[in-house]
Amino acid sequence: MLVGIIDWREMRRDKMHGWLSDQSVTVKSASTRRTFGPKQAIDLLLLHVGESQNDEGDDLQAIVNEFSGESWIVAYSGTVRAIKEFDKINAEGFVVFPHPVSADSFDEDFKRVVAKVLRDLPSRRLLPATSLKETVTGFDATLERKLEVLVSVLKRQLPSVEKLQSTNVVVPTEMIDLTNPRGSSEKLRKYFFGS
Amino acid sequence: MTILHFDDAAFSWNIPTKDVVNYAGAGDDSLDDWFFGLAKDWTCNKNITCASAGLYLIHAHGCFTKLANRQDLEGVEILKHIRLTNWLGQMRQWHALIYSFEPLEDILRKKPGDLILASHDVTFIRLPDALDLEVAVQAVHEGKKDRLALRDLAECPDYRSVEDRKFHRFVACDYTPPASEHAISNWWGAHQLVLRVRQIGGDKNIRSFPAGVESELRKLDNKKAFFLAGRPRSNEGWIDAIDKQTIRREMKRVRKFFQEGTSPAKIVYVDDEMDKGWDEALYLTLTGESLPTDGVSWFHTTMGQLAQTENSSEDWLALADMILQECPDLILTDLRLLGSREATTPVKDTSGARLIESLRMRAPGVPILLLTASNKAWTFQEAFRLGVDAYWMKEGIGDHAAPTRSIENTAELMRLLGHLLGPDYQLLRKIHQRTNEFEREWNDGNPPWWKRMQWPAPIPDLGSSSPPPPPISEPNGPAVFSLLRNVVRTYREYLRLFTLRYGSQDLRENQLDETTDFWLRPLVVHVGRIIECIHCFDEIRLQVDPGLKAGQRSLASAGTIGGYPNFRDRCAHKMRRDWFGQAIYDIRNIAAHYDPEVPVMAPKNIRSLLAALFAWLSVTPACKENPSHLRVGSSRSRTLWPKAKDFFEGPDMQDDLVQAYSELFGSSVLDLPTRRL
Repeated sequence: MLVGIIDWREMRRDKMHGWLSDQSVTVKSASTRRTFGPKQAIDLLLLHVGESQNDEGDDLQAIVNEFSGESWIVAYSGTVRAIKEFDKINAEGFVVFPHPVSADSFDEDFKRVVAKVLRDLPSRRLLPATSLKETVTGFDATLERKLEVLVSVLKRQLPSVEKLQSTNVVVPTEMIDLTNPRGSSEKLRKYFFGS
Repeated sequence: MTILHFDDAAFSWNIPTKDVVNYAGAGDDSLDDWFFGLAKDWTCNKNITCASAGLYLIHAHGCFTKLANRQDLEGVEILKHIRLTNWLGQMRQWHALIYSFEPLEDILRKKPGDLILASHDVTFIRLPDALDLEVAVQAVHEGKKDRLALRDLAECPDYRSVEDRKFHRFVACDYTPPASEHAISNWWGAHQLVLRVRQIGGDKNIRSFPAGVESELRKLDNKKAFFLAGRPRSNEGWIDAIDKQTIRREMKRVRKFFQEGTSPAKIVYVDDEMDKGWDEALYLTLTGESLPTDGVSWFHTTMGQLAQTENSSEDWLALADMILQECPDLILTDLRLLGSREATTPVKDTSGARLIESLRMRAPGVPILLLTASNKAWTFQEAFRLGVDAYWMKEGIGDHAAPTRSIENTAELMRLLGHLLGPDYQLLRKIHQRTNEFEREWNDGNPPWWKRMQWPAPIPDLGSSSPPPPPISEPNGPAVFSLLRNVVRTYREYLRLFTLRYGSQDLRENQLDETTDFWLRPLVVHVGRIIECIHCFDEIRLQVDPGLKAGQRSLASAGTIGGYPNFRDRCAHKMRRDWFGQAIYDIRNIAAHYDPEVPVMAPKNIRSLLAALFAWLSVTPACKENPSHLRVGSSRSRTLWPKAKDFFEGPDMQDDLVQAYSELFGSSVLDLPTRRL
């Protein structure tokens, strides 16, 4: 299984490269399409999209056209604007991760989505085209945080502040009373999901 | 009551712990691998499987694998596995209680495939209220109820059981079956075959499954397929549905061909999916033993590599030649040798079809058994058009078949192998091979004796003073070969219908009745035509009655060879001085005429007759008087239809004929008159 990465941000690219190598897949990474070298039988291409990548000389639409059909392409970006712009591209096996990815790291959420895509790759020929899209776009970061908060409270633990901040989930702190986790989680559940 | 609790969050449920088994996570395993291991453990754990009632307590949002999200609902995946895994027997019927923070409607809106949450015997409840469950579970645990219905909860509007809602009961699982059953059946069929062979033969000393099957079983998709079509581990009951003795007899019959001390039958097996374990599975079927790592000389396997790269008719012939170089007694072949590339190819254009065509062109006598995963009627139809002798279907995972079908399918393979390696088909193979040799010899410088033979012309009337006519020589060779090949074709068709049972229900070899007799007698008459042709019977007729026009029949000269006016009684057996050919022809006379006292003909009689014919074609008959023992068919005091010994076991029997017979057919094909050798 060969996974390609085209991302001009070196730190993020290296982290992704390292993590993917640990998943027992062959990885080929480069900052731009030009340095990526000749086209190979790439199974999955992780493509950074956005203006900054354009500035490095990449024609992103051309890259998508080149790899589409033969590889699965998961695009990601650090800005919502780029995500919205590239989400309009309709190409076979191309999908954009719907949440912004940090410029310097390989986000946990994105990592999990990539892990799921890697899991499906061996049976790729058998999967319908919509499967990739569902896998990548079906993840709801806000819902995930809400569930984490509820689980934490029931376990008499405070949810991690960083995590809550990173996904902009508003948790009214007055609802959390760890001496009464059941009562707290009842209130939070109604607050998050309704009755 | 046993409670199996799946939750990574470890909420405090306050339920009796002595019967609760907690499962918090899969560690480094995938969810499927983890569950696969658990299911195996459960089926071996009598405390769990023998529990009178049980409850699965599952956190829908539990994260059981390393990279899972809570919204992946891995708890629901576990529930699906439980419901779909037949291995779990009665545990599939346990009540499942699944709890979630989200409302059921939200979950189903996002994941309609999780409709299992709304099925019977599943109670869906919301956290954290569900923690009140302790009361209900406690009540069940104390034996107040036989079955965990959780009616108390269900009656409460907030926790109402969803089973009365308008959801379909059927629950689809997320497993996406492959577009073609071909890929699955290639390892699944081998798995089932090994399982059944072990069941029938009780071969305890072999590995569980071939390495190829084991390897396929570890793959995720295949594992799910295995779950879906899982069978109970105790299979002994299944075999009772059909005749156990019959299957074991078939198995013994097959293994007899490969026993130690015998010269094993040679088999060539062509299959592109050999690495899936089919070679090992078939070797086990044939011998009851594991295939040695360095192989055996008589079991030649090929993946048809030539077919993988080339695709011209010459190359198919080359592959056929390569196979035939092994001088096989039986060829086993797959239909699609190019894998998924041929998934939509019409049957007649598939690689296997072209190989079979080439094989039939080169060696029409070698039996071919087509092993294929296709269960389509048109494949079956086309296979016989191409000329295969038998058709066996690899068991597929998607087949809608009765539970006993699996063992019946294995029994069918045993039966087919037993017949194809048995005396009928081996005789067929050898007589066709010998026919080709005769033809070659006829065209080369070393023709068979019956080309060189100068048959005496008819003896003139005793009162005539005219000189005897010149001897007759050289029968019509092409006509003889054409007749011989037609005998092979007719015999093959007879075997297909009666022995392999591809005919209708009333065409069964075991029923020695008028029907079998009706089909066999024309074959004997055709054998008589071959002798007539070699004895230049047409020329005799012309000499006896010179006015006879071509194609016109003369009643006076019809009948027994040499029969002509005035000399029939005296010369019938003497004028050709070919007592062996005459003995065979006597059988033809019996077969051609109606006589209510003649018993019905048996298949072994036709084998003896054909063997005798080919022994006769191979050896020049000695010119001496008719041996007394060879009055086959002429005596009412003995069986009219001859056995091999009737031909060869006389005190004045020609040794070279016995030798030719034994070299041609050997003891493996017919009962050999060994005391003469």
